[in-house]
Amino acid sequence: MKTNSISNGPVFGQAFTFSGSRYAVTMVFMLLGMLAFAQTSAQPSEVYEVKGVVLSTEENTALTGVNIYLKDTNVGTFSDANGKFTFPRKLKVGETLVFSFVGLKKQEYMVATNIPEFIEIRMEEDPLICLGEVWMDAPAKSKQKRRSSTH
Amino acid sequence: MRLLACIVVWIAVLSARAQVNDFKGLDFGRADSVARLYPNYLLTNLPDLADKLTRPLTNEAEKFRAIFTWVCLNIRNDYELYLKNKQHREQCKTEAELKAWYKEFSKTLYHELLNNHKTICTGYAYLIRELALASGLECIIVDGYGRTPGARLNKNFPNHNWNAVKLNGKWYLCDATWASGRIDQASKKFVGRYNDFYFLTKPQIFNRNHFPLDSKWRLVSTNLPIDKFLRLKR
Repeated sequence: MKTNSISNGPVFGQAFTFSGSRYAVTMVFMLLGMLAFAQTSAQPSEVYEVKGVVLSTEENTALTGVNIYLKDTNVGTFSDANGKFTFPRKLKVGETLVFSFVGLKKQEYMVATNIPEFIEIRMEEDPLICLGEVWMDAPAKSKQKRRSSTH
Repeated sequence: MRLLACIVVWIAVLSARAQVNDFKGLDFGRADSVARLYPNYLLTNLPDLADKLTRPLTNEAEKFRAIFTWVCLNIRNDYELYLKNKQHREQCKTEAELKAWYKEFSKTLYHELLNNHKTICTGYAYLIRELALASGLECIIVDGYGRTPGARLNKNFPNHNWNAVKLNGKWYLCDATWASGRIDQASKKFVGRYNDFYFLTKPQIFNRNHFPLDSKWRLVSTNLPIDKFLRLKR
């Protein structure tokens, strides 16, 4: 369904700019597309409970507190002290989970029909080129103040 | 139909020209107020923080402003971290050694950011990038040379990180480290004092004390060679 609506996008844009009749035709197609979508979503589609563990690629240890959320939504959870998680919502095929944490490279996991009962996500460190320059202020008046206060 | 196409092009040109004046008319007060709602907010869930900072705002520039202001107000530049990194980098003799050091120091850097909200330029630039990306804004970390009154610049020793961000289809430059405050020379402590100068600064002016390793991020064409930049006084 997703790919369908994406491929409609540019066609719609062109038609809107250049041709009135093509615009009308596209509108009809889009409506048909929406109807098709409404039908499929009305059918009981299969959903999966997503459970698993998040591990460090380098250390092979459990990663705690990793943010796990459904892509482009606010729905999410964390990995627990043992790196384990159960996603709070059952997911459909094609939906994507995002795993993120400060200092680790973001990982995505797309739900497929053959999803294992327990998934294993490995996250890699994200080393930075560490450069640093500080802007030093001229000796502050505070130095004099401190001296006078000790007297 | 051709007329319609012309109008579309004309509007596109107009809006592109409008960007030359950039955000002069935009009041960032709202974005700054949003940023002030979350003092010392934890960095353990950046997508959530990004959402809190940007959801109330509609304009891309305002969204980015809330992120920038939050980072400047809540992250402290740490002199000891800076010194530790500088001294170690100076001891590295090969690229491999340097790479290994970056890998090791990155861990310290992330740890300090997460636990103490303190960092060096790299951490500022990293946070800005991550929060911007989480908010759907294109953003990168720029590596290069930054000239401060006290710095002795060396061609083999790039010393600064900052950001480039794409807002409404156009790239801009900013430096959260220097916008957040300075280090007091006597106490070596960070003194937070927000400086708006480094927020989406006009590239011609920004480039006076910033020189990226990749010339693409100067954003304007120039023939100033690196050696000349390094020799320039403030």
